[in-house]
Amino acid sequence: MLDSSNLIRPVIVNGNSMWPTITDGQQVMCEIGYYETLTPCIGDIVLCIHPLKPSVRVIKRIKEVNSDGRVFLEGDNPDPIGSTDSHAFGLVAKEQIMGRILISPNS
Amino acid sequence: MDEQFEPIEAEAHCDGPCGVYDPASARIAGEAVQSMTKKMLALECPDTNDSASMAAYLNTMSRYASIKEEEAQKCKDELLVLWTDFFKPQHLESIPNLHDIFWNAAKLCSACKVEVSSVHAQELMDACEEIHNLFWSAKGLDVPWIRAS
Repeated sequence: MLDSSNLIRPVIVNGNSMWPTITDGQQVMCEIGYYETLTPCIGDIVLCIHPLKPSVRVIKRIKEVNSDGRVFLEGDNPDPIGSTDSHAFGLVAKEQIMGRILISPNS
Repeated sequence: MDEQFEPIEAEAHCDGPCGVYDPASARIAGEAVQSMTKKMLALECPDTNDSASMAAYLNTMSRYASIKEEEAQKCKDELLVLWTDFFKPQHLESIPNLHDIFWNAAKLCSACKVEVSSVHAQELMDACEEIHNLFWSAKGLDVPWIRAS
């Protein structure tokens, strides 16, 4: 559901942890504020604030949603050394999720 | 440009020290095991009364056996690194027999180390080939199996 009150921002992705869904240098769109009214869902790709480095934004996929609302994020890249995600920095609070990434089926 | 339309930069990579894994290391050691096994089986025993020839024979056979055991252990070490470091629990979803494959491959290394068996040496190479294919498939790459020998 696209809420017209939310802001759509372009996002430039650095790195290949989301390969093959998103490749290094690819631009995607992010619906900022999407989760202010909606609950994160397993499978969503999200832009969030790095839990340990507040100045860094990361893009990952929601693998699990905890009972307390925090999410487990993981890169799509099957290479186990190809992504620093919740395996390294743990669960992420909903408040740290900036928005949902919009991916066209053909992108 | 209006700030709200400027792209946000998002990181999608690992920020830890990256390891380098390649099943080629196990394959090369496995090939050495197979080569030494073939040489041991092909080495003809000289006249046991010819002391000089016997000395050369025993020396050569000892060297072959030593290299075979050393390379078999090296092959096992390389396989264990792939098994325990590269492959992660999530790989079991797509490769449910992953543990069996590595366990059998490690057992073949042991067999090749203590035996002089061309059958087990070939089975070890077959196991290395299967692991090669699993490894590169997990990385999303199509890397053909090759042999140096």
